[in-house]
Amino acid sequence: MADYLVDKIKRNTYLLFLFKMVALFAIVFTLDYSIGNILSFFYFKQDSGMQYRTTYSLEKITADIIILGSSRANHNYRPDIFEKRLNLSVYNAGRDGNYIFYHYAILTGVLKRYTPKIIILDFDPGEFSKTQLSYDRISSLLPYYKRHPEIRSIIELKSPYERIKLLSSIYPYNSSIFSIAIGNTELNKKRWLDIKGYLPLTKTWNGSIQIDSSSIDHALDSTKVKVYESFIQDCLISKVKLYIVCSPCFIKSNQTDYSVTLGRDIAKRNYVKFFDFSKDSVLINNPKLFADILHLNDEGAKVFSNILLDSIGKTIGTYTKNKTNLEKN
Amino acid sequence: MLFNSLPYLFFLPVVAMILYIIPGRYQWLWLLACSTLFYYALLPVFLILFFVLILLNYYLGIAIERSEARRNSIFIFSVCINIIVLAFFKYFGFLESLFADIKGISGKDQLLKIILPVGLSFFIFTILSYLIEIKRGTINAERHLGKFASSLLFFPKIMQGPIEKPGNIFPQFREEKSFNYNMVVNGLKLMLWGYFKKLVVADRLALYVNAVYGNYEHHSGMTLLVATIFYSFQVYADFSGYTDIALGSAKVLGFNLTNNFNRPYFATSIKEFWNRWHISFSLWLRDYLFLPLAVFFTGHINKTQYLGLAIEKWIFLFASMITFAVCGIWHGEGLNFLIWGLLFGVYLTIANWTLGFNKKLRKRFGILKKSAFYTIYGVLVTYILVTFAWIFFRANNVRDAFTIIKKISAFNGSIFIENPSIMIYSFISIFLLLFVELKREYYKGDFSFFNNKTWIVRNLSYALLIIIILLIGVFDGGQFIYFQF
Repeated sequence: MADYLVDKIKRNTYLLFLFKMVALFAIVFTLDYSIGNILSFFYFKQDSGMQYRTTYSLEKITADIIILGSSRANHNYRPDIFEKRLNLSVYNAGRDGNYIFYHYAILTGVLKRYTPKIIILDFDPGEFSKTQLSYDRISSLLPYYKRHPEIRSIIELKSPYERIKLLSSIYPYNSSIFSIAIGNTELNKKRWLDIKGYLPLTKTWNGSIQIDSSSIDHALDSTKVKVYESFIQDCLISKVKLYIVCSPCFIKSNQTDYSVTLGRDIAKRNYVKFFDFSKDSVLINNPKLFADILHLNDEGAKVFSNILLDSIGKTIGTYTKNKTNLEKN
Repeated sequence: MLFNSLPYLFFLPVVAMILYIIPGRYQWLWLLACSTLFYYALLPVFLILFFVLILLNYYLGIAIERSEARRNSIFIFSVCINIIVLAFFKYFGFLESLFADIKGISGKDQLLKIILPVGLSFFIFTILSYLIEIKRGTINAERHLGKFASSLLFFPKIMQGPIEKPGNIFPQFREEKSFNYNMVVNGLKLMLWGYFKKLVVADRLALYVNAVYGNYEHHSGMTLLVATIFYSFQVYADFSGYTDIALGSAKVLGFNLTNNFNRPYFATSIKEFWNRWHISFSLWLRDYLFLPLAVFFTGHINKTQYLGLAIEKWIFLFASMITFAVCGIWHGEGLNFLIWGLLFGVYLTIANWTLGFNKKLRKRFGILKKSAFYTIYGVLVTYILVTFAWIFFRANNVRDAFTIIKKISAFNGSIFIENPSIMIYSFISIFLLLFVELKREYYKGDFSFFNNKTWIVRNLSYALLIIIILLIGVFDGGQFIYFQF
């Protein structure tokens, strides 16, 4: 019987082709499943680095205050200053090169576990611009697709075919093999020593202030606006005190950023405080506080954290008035 | 629809399955419908332009064939009309922005924003080839409008070629296609290798190249040198990877398209490089521009020598420079593309003029042309010359290109490594590409993974290639570089 079947398959080229394709897919599936699971094991075994911080933010964080945002959040807000002046625990969950989708995913993951007292969302100028890059960067959340059903809808915004792509066990760890390997070594802890999520930048910006006189009209991304609105709504529903902050940039612009205007309007409509420090004269007149045009250095982060606390602290019960470094100077 | 998009991986098998089921007389119609859908998914507006050009050239082809007295004038008219259409879409935007710059008008005030329909250059060059061959009497004009349209719009080649000669493509649309196991399997193998080149090599290297060339003023000479070397592999892997997917897709459907690349970086001379790089385009330029120009000059110049050099050498110079100037302009609208083309004209002319001298030199030192030393020397020199020319191709303009060359020649500074893993993946991808190509070039008969006689070795090799693509391929963003042409 078996010989008969083999003979029949060999004679019929269609069947032969189909049989060989099925066999190839079986090999690919087995390899994909095995390698994918090994990668997954080591990914979640990491105890330092950027990927670990995302896992920690989604699964382990218990801080009273969470700072969310892109690299500007990660490098501009010093948790120690907040902790000292507010007497509350703080974690900086900002991640380089990410957008509102990532911030909302982290918020969703956190709210599923517990309700923090305060959330500070760092708002980037141009946050609502339509760029493919912002969707591509959702890839940093791919490893969490299977473990966190609550953020699946956000991950699926990446592309209409994300569900199909995620049938592969390797795909979520695409291009991560080296970072996973390094993340499992002691070397990584020395390389990226974070202080409650915060990564200090030590450089000092030497260049002059960038003048932005461009009048590029970026198309507004309605999906991003909706996600931003959902972010606010979820905080309101969960009774989390939300502050939205546009931290300083070393850029002088004649134009008002449309995203910032819209972000502020939406926040105002929902009675959420929105602070715009992007053009704060105290900070942008002091290049020594910047590491580059978009990020503050460690000293700048200290000054900015104090300035921000002077603005928002009054509304928080545990607030301790303190002289900022700048005032001292 | 893009070849490196997920829908294409579902689209092609469906097209193939239905193609092999339906009767032969309707196959062209099915392929035409699929090609239209394929292009519609990308740029629907320009389909009208393509159909107008098909209709126009269908009748012009027949008119050229039929007319005895006005054959030349119809031919010239038809060539001109196609070139005007191409020039309008390719250079109108450039000229308009140049005019706007002179007049001090902002980009917003320009009357028309013209974008080049994807594949128009390849499409028009195929049509020109068709018209020239009819004029020469080597082929007959296609009488079946549907098959004519179907062959010109054939989706595997519509976007980036190969530029098929009518003698190769039209007869294939007259045949009935039936499932050919070997052809389909070979097509799939070729596609898989193409995806590897595109996703693992080209798109990976592009991350570094774009980061460096996008801010070249902030980078050291060493960084620019590394980025330029990376670019040489990127542009090759990108275009040849695309071509492999195109050729593989066509094979899955039972069609044989012209091979466009034959491991060009193993060429031992610039002449050989152009016999291995973008072969269908090189052949087009040779047959329809270089040779007619050479014949024209030969017929119109009576002298045998000029300035102590044989007149053939001068003819070669002029024909090469004109051909490569066209080659440069075809690739892009900036002056940098013209210089890129002319550089190859200069390289070839120097090689042609020093042919005798080189021969004498080899004889004097007893170096055989087929010796390992001469091969390595030739490959290295050719690679360096080609990579130098790529600087003009990749830079945004001539000024940038010269600044980059100046920085590279200083040969100093440290190498920019923002993300070590990108560098590691880049080197791995180049190594894998060179390993396979080196084996194919010099050790053809030896052990093969992909064509191994043992079924399990062969299948494990394909599976591993798929796994490598999943592990280190770049899946986000990234269009084929040749789209701008």
